[in-house]
Amino acid sequence: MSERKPAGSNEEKVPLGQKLLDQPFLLLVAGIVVMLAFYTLWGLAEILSLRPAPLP
Amino acid sequence: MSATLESLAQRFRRCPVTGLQVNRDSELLIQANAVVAVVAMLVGALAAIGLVLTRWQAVHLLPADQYYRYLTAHGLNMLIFWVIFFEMAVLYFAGPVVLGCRQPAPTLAWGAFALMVVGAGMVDWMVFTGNADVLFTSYPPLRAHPNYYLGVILFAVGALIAVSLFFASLVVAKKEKTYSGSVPLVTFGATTAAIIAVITLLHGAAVYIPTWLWSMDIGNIDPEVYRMVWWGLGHSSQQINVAAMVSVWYLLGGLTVGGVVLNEKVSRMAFVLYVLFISMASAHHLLVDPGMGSAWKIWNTSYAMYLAVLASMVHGFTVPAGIETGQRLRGYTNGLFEWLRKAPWSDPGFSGMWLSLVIFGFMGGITGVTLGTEQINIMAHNTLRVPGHFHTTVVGGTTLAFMAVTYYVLPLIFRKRVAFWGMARLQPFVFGGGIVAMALGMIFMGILGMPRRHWDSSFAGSPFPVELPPASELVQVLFGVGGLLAAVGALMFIAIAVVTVFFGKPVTEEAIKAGASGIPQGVLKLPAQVHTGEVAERQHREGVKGTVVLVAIFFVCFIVYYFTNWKMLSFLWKVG
Repeated sequence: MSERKPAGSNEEKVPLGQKLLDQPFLLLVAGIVVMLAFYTLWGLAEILSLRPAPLP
Repeated sequence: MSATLESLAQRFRRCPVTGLQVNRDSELLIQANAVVAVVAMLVGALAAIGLVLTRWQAVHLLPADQYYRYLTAHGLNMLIFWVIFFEMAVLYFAGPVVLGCRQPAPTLAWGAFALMVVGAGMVDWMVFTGNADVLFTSYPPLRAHPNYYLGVILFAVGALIAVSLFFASLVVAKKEKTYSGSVPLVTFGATTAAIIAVITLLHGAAVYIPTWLWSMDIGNIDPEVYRMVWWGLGHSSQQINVAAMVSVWYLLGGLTVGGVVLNEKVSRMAFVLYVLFISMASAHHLLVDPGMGSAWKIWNTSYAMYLAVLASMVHGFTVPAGIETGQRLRGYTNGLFEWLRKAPWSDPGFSGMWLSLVIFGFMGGITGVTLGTEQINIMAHNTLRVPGHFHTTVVGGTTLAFMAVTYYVLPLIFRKRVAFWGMARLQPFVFGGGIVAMALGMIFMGILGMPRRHWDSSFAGSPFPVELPPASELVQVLFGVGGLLAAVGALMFIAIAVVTVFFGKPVTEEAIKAGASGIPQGVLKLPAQVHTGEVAERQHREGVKGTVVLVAIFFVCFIVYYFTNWKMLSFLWKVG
């Protein structure tokens, strides 16, 4: 279930992408920020900027 | 020193099958959460029988008030309590058990579990005593008893603590060096589920705390804000399921046939796409709401959601491709599909996982993307097509995957041989077949114009005439029979799980050596988990031709269904 590694891989430089993916709290913050920015706060701004409809 | 070592040794056992170091605290937490999950499923399944026999107009069993009460109970017990209790079990497994570390703060973990049980109990009490006939969504101005909202809040706080302890286990395992390099893919998938759970629970707190106060006449609630924030909880909670389900697919692929992860980078990037974009798909519940602008709707349900759909399609390819590779490495190399024909279909862990994959991908995925298209949504919104779709994702996908992994949890974590083994081998097919028939019935009823959440499908006493095509009566039979079959499948699963946990025979090394009944083939003889050498290299070069054909069939189905919907839309809005 794991990827095969060549001999001597312990000394291999870990790629930047892998380093980022190994940071669960970074992913947590990114997930929360993206959702809050695009869905929640933008959505709130849309609703709160609605002008009241004139009553007939 | 020796006393400390002895105390540590007593807290761990080495699993003779997987070789994992299993700590006793996490093991007990997994067992407790799984047992309560099954109890919630029993409540939800019994309610489902009443609902099916009411919407099947020829039977029309329940009076209106009971119908909406059972619908509320069914939604909460199935969509929240069953899946989230089970997901907590998945997190306790994928964290401390897979990483081989101790359980962080076990007393706090039991406190979290107690909060969840008390919260779920309060909610069910309020619903069944008629104090919360507000459906799963509890849209204002519908108002329940304050203890209903308090129950939800307690449940959510407990879940948030349990999720935090999963993150704590990642820290503990890294600090105590119980693994090296990156965490295994199953743990990475569970991390994705945990992140989405935090997003979900934050929205839950933002919506339920003010609503609880409002239910006690403190403050006010804007219905449109409520809908928007609530779906940040309501839909995202189902995306926890998706991430947990995909993790279970990878786990079972390895356990049942020695499935290979073709490319760790690709699979992990697909999980990251879930982290970043899947929760935003909540917006498709608001596609017909007048309060939101087109830019917000289209960004959240098209551009962003399609990145999450891409992630699902990546997993939808890599999981079967990994299984094909694993099977070919076991010698099933003839033709395009020998690997699939000779898969261990009598192992409910495999059959349940495969059916979950097919139902989720072919039915849930295709109908979901179509419903999430703003223009098409106007035809389908609030019709039975919507629950038809999510019964193929949450039930045919997630629930079936969780059932499948239970057949491995019982012998590996509870250390019991699965009871009624003959029935267990049949159960995924009964449940999966029932869900497919029921969901098809719902989808066709929805296409014919049948609304969801409606007690009387005949619209008797309506102030204006509503005529549905006679074909709707035929598809009601498909829905009814399928629903009852699915309920039978769920009750079979519950009977198997309960009898195994409380009365099951123990799994011993002798029983494994003798190939005793009630032990899945992956436990009797764990397939090779690591493949090296010339044969493995050659297999990687040859590729996965069978899976490529399956993917091509999937795309043809997708295209036909998607464009059929645009054609139907053209009948509604004649242009020119």
